[in-house]
Amino acid sequence: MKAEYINTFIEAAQSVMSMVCGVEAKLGKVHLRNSPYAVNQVIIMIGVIGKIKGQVWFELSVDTAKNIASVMMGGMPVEEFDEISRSAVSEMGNMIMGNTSTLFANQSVNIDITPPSLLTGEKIELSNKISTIVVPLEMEGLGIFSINVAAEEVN
Amino acid sequence: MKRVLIVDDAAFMRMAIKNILQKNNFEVVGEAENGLVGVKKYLELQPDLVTMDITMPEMTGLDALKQIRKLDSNANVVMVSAMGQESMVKDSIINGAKSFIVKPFKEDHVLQTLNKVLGL
Repeated sequence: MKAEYINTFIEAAQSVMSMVCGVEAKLGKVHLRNSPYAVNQVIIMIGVIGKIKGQVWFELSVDTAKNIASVMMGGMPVEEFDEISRSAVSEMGNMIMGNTSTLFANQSVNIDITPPSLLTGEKIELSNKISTIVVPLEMEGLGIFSINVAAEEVN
Repeated sequence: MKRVLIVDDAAFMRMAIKNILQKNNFEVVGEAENGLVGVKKYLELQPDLVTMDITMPEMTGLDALKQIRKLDSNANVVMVSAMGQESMVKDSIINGAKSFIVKPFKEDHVLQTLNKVLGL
């Protein structure tokens, strides 16, 4: 996959985070990881097909997920990572990927996305055949939200 | 007070739309978590307007829209889509959806769209 495609994911995520949570998301160090690897407590996974094929998942801690859900619910305190707060965070993943697919379409790169799946747990380990590009985004006051892209370009 | 049925598989989205509507003199008469339940509740509740998510399990928003429009050719259905679903929105409009809202949405845009569809 072209390296510059990562910028589209970053732009989409920062835009949605700003619109939905009203915060700036500062870009951390983009890096590669090879499987298997341990991931954080909350994963929102979305499949991608079309010109780019693979998976994208968003990785964050439970505390960051609760913070994001709280902001999305107008500042309502979130004590437990319950059904509504899980739904909120999943929906944010869905909106980021929706925005991503629109931005890609503007570049004539057409993709489709699946509905999000949310996984939670301790010591989750992921394996896949494609190297994963990791884009950490620090959401001001809320925590780190990482975009993981394990996808390849289809010719 | 206009009566609204909210159809969306995401509990958070149902809550977000419900909060906007209830603050602004709409009555939320029902909620459905997929298109199939949405069609059943439409028959049961006869709302003035339906907000309909596009991508849902059991029955998609587009299929639910078609069913509702077969049952009631005057049904007011507003599609709720994520960005990137332009072709599905277009199909929905062709099949009788009155308008659409794109997520993430702002409260005033939701109200403007619904009020316009309801002729308020």
